[in-house]
Amino acid sequence: MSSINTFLITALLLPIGVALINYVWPAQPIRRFLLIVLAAVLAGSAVWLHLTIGLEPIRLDLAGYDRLVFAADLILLAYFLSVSIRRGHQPLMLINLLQLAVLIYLELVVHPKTAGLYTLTIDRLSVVMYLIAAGVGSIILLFTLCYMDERADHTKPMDSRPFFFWFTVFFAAMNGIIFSDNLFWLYFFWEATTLCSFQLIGFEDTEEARRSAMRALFFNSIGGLAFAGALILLLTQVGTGAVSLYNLVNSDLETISTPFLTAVALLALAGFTKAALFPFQNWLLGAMVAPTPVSALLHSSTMVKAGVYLVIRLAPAYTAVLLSSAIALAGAVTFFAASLLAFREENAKRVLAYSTVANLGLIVVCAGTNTPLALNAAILLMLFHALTKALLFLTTGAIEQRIGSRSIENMAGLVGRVPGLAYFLIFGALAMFLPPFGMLIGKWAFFETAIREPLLLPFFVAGSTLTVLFWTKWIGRLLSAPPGAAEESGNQISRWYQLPLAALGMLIIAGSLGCEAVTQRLSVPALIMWYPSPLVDLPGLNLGAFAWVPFFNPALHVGQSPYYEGIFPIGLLIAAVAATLFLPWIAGRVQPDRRTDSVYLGGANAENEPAGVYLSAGEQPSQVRLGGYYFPARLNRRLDFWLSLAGLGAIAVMMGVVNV
Amino acid sequence: MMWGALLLVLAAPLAGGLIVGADRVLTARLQGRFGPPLLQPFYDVIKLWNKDTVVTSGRQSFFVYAHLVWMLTALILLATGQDFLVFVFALAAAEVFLTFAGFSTHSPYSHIGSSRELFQMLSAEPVLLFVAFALYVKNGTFLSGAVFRESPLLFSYPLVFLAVLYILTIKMRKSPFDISSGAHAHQELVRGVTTDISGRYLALTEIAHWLELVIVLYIVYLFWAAPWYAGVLLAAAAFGLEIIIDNLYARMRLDWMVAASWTVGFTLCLVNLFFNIATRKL
Repeated sequence: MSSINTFLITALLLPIGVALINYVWPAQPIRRFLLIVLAAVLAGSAVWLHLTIGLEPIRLDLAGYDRLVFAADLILLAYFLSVSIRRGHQPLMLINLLQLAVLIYLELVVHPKTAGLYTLTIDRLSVVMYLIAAGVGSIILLFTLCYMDERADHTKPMDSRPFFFWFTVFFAAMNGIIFSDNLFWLYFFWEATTLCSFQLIGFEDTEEARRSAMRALFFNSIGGLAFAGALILLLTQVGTGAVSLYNLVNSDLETISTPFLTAVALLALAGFTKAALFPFQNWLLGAMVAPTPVSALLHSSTMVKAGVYLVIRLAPAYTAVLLSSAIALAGAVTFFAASLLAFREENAKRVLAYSTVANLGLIVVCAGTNTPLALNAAILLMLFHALTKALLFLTTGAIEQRIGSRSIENMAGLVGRVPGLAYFLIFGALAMFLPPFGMLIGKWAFFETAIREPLLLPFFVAGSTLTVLFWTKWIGRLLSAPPGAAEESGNQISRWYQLPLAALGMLIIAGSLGCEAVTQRLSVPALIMWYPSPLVDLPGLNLGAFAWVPFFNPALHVGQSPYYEGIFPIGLLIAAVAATLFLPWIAGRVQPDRRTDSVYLGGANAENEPAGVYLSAGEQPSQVRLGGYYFPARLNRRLDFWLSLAGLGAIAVMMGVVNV
Repeated sequence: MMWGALLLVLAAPLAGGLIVGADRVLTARLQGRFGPPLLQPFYDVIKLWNKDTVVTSGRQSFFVYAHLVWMLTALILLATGQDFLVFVFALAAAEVFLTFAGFSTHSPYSHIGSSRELFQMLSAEPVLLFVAFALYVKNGTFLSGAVFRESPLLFSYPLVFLAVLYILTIKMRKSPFDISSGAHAHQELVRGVTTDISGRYLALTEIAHWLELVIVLYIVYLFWAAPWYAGVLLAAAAFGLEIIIDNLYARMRLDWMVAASWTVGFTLCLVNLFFNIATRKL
């Protein structure tokens, strides 16, 4: 048990300690050393935890610190209140006052007795989330070191101490969310991540940064208020035992009641705000003003993942009630709406942001569908999305530093200009939607069970198709330069950049190839307590290139159907990938003689003219211009309003179906 | 079953080439011409294969091979009765690689063609996904092989079949949807994607297109898979219909194609699916 204590101190206090030392002692070599050590310790501790925790959860009682957490909560909310007063943001002021009132009321009037209840619980689901947060997070941390130094070279000098302070504290807050069992503790860490993201988004201190930071604070405070509402309902209407998340999920309370379901719906709503589901998507899009590593952190391993983590964790509590379908509806609307809007964006980071929102929507759909296979899909998506999105954000950030723009149109022909980074970007984008990568396996696993929510099928089909489109469109721009554009490949990227990117790429490949092992070792143990295993062995066929990953869903299995419901032929698809990689190479060896010629331009290509100039009618030299489709007229700002309204409608439905 | 699948995969390039040849003969007769011999597509490909290989960018060859490999993978998945969803994803991968080949050539015509090809995908992919769900609702499995042991899909899904006929035109890039690359010389964009793909790489793209033809006609075949000749007749009838439509209609606009697929196509599939889900005996 003492090793677990050491672990918890490492996970919760070490980041804060490192943050403080860095703040008072900001010398660059020391910072570099300490953060590398922190990254290594976090990654190592994640592996250790994975090896240590069995199916039986480890639970700890730290009730002695309850008062401390309460006090910290008050300080946090008071700080938010002071911010809202200073900026004159009245809605936020009201929300913060309400939260404070709820908290004080609960502490002084209701005075919950938490004795005998656990404070922290580490089960297999926490292990998966910690692997994501600490594993992917530590890789982002390594990248950040180099990025911020390079960034300092070409932006106005700024004190980077607050940046590193909040960046490091973020890890502690996230770990708190992962392991909290007592809802008061969870609430505190929940608000702490809000604080960290507020500070990081506002780091640049420009007008836009300040506005985006306020918006993030406001939207997340709505979630905080929903959380506080859930607390009050649970403690006054359901019973003190419900203050433990673990008890809540296991529902060894009385029977399911209306206040219970209302509280669960409010907690899900809090998750939605954090996960930036429609209509809350704008805070995450605004968060783009922060330095790129912040986006990577917010989008892949922390913050938004905390939102879906809570929704997934609560899934057993709302299984088999209408609320479950309503949650799926909210996710489905978001999945479709975000995929559609991603289509319009020319700004690379905004495309990534909409893609994040879409995938979080899909994860929420999985949780709402609430079958073993769907939950398994949710965990696969969470895992692979963290890896892939981290890679994409870090690469985009590095590209932005090279070419000074985040516009996709300015990335035209990037494979010729900055090949290293462009190939990382293409790889990451392909890994988001092509077989046999993990994201697609997750989506496939969900689709196998999607018929459970037949009314939502159009959303799934439309969102899935649009996803393929907006990624392909982007990659197409990276590949297509104007005819005759110069290819320069002398643009090297430093090893500090290559290392984290390569690590993420290797993890994506390894995880995708070993998707069966990932399912068996990570997601099935995390779910087995509530859901039967969705995997069956197909005897005799799990050999080499013809390995199959059959999924079989007992909850869906109809009558005497003699078939497996679906099979993912991972072996065949890996063989296809191998052929894709080696066939051109072999063919090139056999017959290498290829002549390169200029592009056909529909007229005479002009001699001695700059690239891409041809002679059109009347011997006039004309310049070829290429561009991508964005449809700004159709996918206009008014559409945002209607899609947000649809998201709001889904939430209204969700709050309307909590009656028993 | 396994031998049949092997035969299908091996015979597919041959069958695809013959289908294209038949298409050219029939189209010529419809237009009052004599037309090329049936085996002309094979002569074309052999001639292309032996030509000097000229490229405009080294990257296009990689994607041409990738296109062929994933088309073959999709065919294998279909022929062996595998998961239809995985097949749809593999087919999407093949198409994505074709557009990448087009983008890589740096040709403005390929650029337009590839961009338009993406919209062809946008129109066709939803219907294919609905077919997967239709299979599941009918047979309790996504494995397409199950159609051989159940009653014909066509009887349960007449409306989905109509939607499939619609996307068949898109997939075959026939008028009115030869938007990304057309075979008719009067269109404003002829062979868009492949404008600057030549020689051996054009031959490979052509072979991949033959495989694609076999794949889309096989999807039609799945709607009446037992007895086998019913499906073959169905596919032949669908193919004949496509050729007639191809010669009767002018090209439609891109946005018309997408809008029709996303309204009419969606509605046909959803109405049919919901009806079958509602009346399904559990």
